[in-house]
Amino acid sequence: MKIKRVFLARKARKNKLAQQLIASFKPGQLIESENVLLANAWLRQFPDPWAEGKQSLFLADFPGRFLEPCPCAREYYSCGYWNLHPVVGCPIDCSYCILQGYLTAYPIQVYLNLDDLFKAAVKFRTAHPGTRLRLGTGQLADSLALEPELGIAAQLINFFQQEKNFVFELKTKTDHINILSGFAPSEKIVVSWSMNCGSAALTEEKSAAKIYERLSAAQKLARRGWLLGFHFDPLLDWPGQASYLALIDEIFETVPASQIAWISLGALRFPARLKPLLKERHPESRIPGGELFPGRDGKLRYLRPLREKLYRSLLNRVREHAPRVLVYLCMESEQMWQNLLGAPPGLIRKELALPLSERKHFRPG
Amino acid sequence: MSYARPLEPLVNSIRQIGQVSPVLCRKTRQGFKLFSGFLRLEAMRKLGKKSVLALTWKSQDLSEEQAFRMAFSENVSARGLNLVEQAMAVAALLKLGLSKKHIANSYFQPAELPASLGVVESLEALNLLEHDSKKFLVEKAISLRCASELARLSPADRSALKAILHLHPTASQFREILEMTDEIGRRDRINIAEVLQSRELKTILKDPKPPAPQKLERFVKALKKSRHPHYARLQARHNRLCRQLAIPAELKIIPADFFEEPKYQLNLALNSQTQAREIFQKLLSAALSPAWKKLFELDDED
Repeated sequence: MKIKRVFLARKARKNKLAQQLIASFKPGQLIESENVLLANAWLRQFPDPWAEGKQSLFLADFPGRFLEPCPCAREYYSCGYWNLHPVVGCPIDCSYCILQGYLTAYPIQVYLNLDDLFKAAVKFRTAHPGTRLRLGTGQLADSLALEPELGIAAQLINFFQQEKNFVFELKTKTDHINILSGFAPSEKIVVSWSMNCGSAALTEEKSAAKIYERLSAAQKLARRGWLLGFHFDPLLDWPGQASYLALIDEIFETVPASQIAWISLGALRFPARLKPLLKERHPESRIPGGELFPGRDGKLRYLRPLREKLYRSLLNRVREHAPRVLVYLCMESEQMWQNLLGAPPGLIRKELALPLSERKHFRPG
Repeated sequence: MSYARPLEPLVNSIRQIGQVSPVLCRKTRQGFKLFSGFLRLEAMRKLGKKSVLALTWKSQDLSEEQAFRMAFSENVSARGLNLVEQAMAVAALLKLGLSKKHIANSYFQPAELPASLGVVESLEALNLLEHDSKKFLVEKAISLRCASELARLSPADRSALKAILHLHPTASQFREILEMTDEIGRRDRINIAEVLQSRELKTILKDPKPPAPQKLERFVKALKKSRHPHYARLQARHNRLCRQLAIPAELKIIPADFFEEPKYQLNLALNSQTQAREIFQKLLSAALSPAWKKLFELDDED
């Protein structure tokens, strides 16, 4: 994941983080750009500006809100997650990535005003002292893909391991775990992996770590005592149920269930407008061949009976290994949560935001 | 820079009022080289004229690129360029050594044509298409996106699609067929030619009896079923269960969009009070049957 160039505003050159980041780049790799639209225009000289954008950083202050509830569509049951976005964009080129159609910027945007991010978290905790939150940086970026170069994850771990009200998640498709070697494991920090069958990861998750590399990284962290999460998201229709079940078996053979903080299941969904771009940028992708129809939120998703069957079989297999591991669904209806998960959705959501030691129902091992 | 332009209107016009606009030529060592007005020249020939009105430049006074720019501007302002003509313009400009960026910015943008680098690249690719495909693109005013998808296919796939072109689909029908065959191919890891070799599709295409529109309708229906087999099974199951319920024809049970939820709407057309009573009674007994229960257990495999 080589970064070819850095766009930055003149003002940003004075920022300490920016200076650290650009120190290893040659002058010719630095492009002055007052806003991301100018960087976009520059990148449009390439036939695939998305691919070039994934190898470019844009450094600037973020004027908006750093901490926001995960925008689960109103039509579906929210798992209560909150997003933190010090970085928006990702060097990994997943065919199905909604960022391709969702973001208005090609380069990976790295926000320099991290102090404001921490202030936002403190402000939230002060305003809602009784509220527990599960939050993470892996929704609009890969939490570890650009680490340790960015050095942001370390600052976040330092901050959130001291904070009582939050459970903080670093979500990744890489094996960049060296950054964690300087830290003692904390039950307030969960490192999680997006998982898919090996064949799907090869075709659809270009430049991500291979599944065995992700699992190996998870195993190393588990041995050091870290808590882990696994996200079967997006589940695809073509690798077949048996491949996913084998992957679940492999996970439980590799890491102890007692260190799994959560497992999420989410079948593929994406806005319809992404499909032409997906086909064009990823001609080898099998995703457009799926039986995808508009759901309640207008996004394309597999037919409900197909999703339900896949969830049920995966869930049963997880329960065979570890009946008390917390499993939840991503962007599914409350009815689906109720039908499949065997516990009130509200209870699952509440326990997700608690460290393992404070949970009453979902404490594996 | 003309492709699939009908000559007859121009012939008629020149026959009635004569040649109004001169053709444009460069004088080179080899003689006069026409660079704009090919259709006019063709029309004049057809009318048996021995001479044409022409504006000429010495080659040293007008470079090849300047000449092309004049022809391009004249054609764009006079009649516009269809997709294949735009592709021909890109090919000619690339041959003159211009960069794609320059073509986009200096030719397409001022002419108010779509002018990104991506557009120029897509147009360049259209030059590889065979004559039948190009003709179809122009006749049906196919969009550049759809045309690009066609150009991305292998010659074997395009050749297989000729059978569809003979059924005269509209632009939107063709786009839909192209999309479905591509997606089936991606799903089953086969090419489009192989998709079209499926027994059902092949039988429809080879059947000499039905007229083209009917054949096209049957073909699209079969393709949809092949593209969305689970959905087709859910629909068939729903229809079967509704038949088993033996409810009156006035009552329709309408599933949620794409069976996203086990929820139904009842659509009822009533003519009289007595009829209402009869329908509700039948509905009550239907609601006690196993088929009614099955309606709420969405499964495409039972």
